[in-house]
Amino acid sequence: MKVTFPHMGTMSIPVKSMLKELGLEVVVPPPITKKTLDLGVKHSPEFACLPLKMNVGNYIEALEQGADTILMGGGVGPCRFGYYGEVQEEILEDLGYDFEMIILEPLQGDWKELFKTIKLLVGNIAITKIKSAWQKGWAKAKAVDQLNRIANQTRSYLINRYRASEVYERGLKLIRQAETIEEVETKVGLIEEEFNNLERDEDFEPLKVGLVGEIYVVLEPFTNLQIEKKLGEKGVLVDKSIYLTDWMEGHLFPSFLKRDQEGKKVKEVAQPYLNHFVGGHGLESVGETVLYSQKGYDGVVQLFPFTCMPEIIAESILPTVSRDLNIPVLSLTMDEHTGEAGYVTRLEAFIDLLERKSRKEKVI
Amino acid sequence: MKGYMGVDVGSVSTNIAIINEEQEVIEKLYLRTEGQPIKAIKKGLMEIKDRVDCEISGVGTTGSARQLAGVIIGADTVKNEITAHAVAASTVVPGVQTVLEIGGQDSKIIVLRDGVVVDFGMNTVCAAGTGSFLDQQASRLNISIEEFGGLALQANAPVRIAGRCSVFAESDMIHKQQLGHNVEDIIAGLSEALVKNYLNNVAQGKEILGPIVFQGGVAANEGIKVAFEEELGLEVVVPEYYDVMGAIGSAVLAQEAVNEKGRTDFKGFNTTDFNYHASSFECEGCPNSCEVINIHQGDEVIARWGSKCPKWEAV
Amino acid sequence: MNKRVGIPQALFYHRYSPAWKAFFTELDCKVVESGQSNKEVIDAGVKLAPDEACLPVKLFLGHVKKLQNQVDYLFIPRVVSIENKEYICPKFMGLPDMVRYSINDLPPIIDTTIDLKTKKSNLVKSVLEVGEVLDKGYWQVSKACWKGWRALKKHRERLREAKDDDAQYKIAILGHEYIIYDSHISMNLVEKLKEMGVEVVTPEMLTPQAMRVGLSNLSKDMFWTLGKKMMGAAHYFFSNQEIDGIIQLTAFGCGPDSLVGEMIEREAKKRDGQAFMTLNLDEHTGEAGLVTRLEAFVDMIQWEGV
Repeated sequence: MKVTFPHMGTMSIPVKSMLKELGLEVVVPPPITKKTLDLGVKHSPEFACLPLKMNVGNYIEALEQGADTILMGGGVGPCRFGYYGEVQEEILEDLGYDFEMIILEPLQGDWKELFKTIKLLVGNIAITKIKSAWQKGWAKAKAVDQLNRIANQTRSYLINRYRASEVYERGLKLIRQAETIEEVETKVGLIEEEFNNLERDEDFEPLKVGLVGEIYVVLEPFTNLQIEKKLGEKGVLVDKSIYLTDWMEGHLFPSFLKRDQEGKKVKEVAQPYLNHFVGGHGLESVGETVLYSQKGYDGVVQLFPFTCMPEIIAESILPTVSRDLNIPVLSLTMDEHTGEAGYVTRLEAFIDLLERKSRKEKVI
Repeated sequence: MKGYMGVDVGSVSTNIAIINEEQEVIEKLYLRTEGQPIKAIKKGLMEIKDRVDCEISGVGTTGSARQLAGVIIGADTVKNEITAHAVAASTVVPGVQTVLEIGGQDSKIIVLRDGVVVDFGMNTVCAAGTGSFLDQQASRLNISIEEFGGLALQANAPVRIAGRCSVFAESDMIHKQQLGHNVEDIIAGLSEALVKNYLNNVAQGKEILGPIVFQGGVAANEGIKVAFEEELGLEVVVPEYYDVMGAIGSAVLAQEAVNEKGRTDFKGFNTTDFNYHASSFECEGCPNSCEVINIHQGDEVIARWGSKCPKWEAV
Repeated sequence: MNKRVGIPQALFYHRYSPAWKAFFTELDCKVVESGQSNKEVIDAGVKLAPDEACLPVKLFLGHVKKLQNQVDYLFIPRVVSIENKEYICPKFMGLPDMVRYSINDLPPIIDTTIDLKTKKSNLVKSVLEVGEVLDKGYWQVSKACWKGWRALKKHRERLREAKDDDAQYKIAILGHEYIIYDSHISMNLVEKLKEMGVEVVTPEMLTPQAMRVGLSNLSKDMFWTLGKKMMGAAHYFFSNQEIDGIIQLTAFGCGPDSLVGEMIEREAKKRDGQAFMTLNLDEHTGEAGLVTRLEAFVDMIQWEGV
């Protein structure tokens, strides 16, 4: 059995380790390129949301490299993601591929389901083995998130801002290759130090922008056209409201183990505008925007795939939040037609807007 | 006398404006880009050079070819067209709260409060809210685009033309023609359709308050201006230099930039003597197949862009 | 004076209106409906909603706009779930909020949450909440609720009884009630087919038993109630010899439709014996084009029948 799974930002790093630790042969899909997108778009329903199409592209490229088993997340609604697996399986079958699709349904307070799925994958396996696989994967997930956070915190202050991505990429490579948890931790320390040694302009006061929105588009640089890098290199300090570990926690942890303090707070501050869960990250997009304004951020960018249902609800509410709290919000929808030039123009204009606003507020 | 020059190189037109220290326009130029931005920039510079006798103390570029223009001219500021248009509008009409801009290929709305941009929108992939929509339909009706606006005003009963998309609008228009509606009513209908598309797509959810400035090439069209006024119930101002506002904004930004840094990087009008050309190649480093563009001055590559990774960033 | 409660004639109006009308009438309210959709309502909705929103939501906003100055309350419940372990779609869950932040100066919105995801009896809580807003007592509300339920039951029975024995062909229509029964958006599709001598069957006309048969073909239990109904109905129609053709109506921008519709279409392609056609409706769909396609579809069935 050769297992593959879709990309989402740096997710392949922890997931590959985890699966290898379980004794599986893993085929990581080739990095996402224009070709991946084209394949996905060609074979997916026209009005499906972008992540579904990207996944299909990943699968096809991995199946072509010999994968025969696809591991995919499931869901219980109401966002379309929960039904991705079914549709994708149908698409690939109609294309004539021979494969097995295993869908990991979220755990609703129940370990049994997880064991059933693991059994499907690896047969009978010692519980200690599962535990060590999880620990290793989790350590790597935390490590890549940590590096991402440092890169975003550092980039705008650097004399040479391009260096941040170089160091970050090198760090990811080291984490990918690390064999043990200790090695992961040492490598994180090394890279952290390297970041600290980069030459900075200590007096620089960057604009601060928070990223909210649908998780796939926020986490996948190919899809968001490298927004963190783009903003950072223009001297903006970027903070993401969601990280890979958040998603893994939400999808792979049994619900009774979740430490959801942050989630509660987000709900609380969103409440005057939206007091009900609407699927996906719609509620979080509203709540995180409020939090960013409380934390003194200059602006918020909302990213989501074209036709994303939960985010459209958030989009219709955010202008009011923006007016009430005096924090500019830029909503950007991404799909296969998104042109880079128009996207950059919008981002630049948004930065100008924030710059002029903050300059004026300082004068007053 | 000191002057500041703004150069706006878009896909349809290349505009140049020169302003004096008091930010008044002393010269302007509008020419077609015709898919050859380098040629258009050189031609524009040569033409405008003979028309003014002032020292150029700063230069700004904007528009979709702003980077290219910036490299060739030696710009002090390279700014996106949204900011440039906003700056121009608030220079020409102080206190402006809404800018409607419709150009050939794209259109935007800019919302300002107390002189600061607080929100903006741009058309997405569709051309239904842009000038090219009118161009297409005008040529289909065999009417020059200049006559278009005047004819719309002569309509008695504008016909209703459906279509978020210019392709649908076209088929609907043909249908209305077959039914025997007169040309004036159809043109007025098209103007209303453009305004509706613009308001539903580009300006959706934006707070539109007066004073409103309407600029960009399409602002020449009286019919569209009136359609906007009727739809919004507010007066709409078309500034004198409505067609080169991006360039004016860019010139104002250049003035700001030069005041800050104390010198200009302008290469001089003689820059047109150099031989510039662009070449491109498809990078084969990965399946992204980025189209990388080289800008040459003589034999030397002076700028390069288009790649997704840093591989080609250094010149 | 009786309070005027406005009900936008869109989305779940088309599923629950008999119940809602009976309920509010029994609570001494005057029910004000926004009337049939028309061009004006759509235009208003398109202007108010984000560009990316689906057609039915845009339409809903248009209906709300129309009622804005005619009523004391707007009834826009937050419908989270109407079946165990299922949802409608995210937009139904955020509907009152979308309305509130898209239209200024609205009368108070009765936005009680209806969430029957864990248990049906939650409905009692929701109904009593409405009673509280209108200042009505427990008994009156209970009675109103019962009357509403009766009215709905009758309405559904009537739907199932509708039959046309003279019709030559039988065509099934798959689609949301709020598309099929909105005569403006569907451009009177049902009536047009009837005029062509076709008997029309919709998912609402299926008995629970027939629906169960259809649903037994699904590989994964679906968490969208409406999508599930479409899938179940589709499978039932596929295996029903009396159905000569199936027309699937999808709404532009509908999230679940983009996947459910695709699955149904793929399934249809694998079968023969029944004609199948998908129509994606948006606010610009031209009537002439629709008629052409319907006529061609019926012709196709006729030829096959010969």
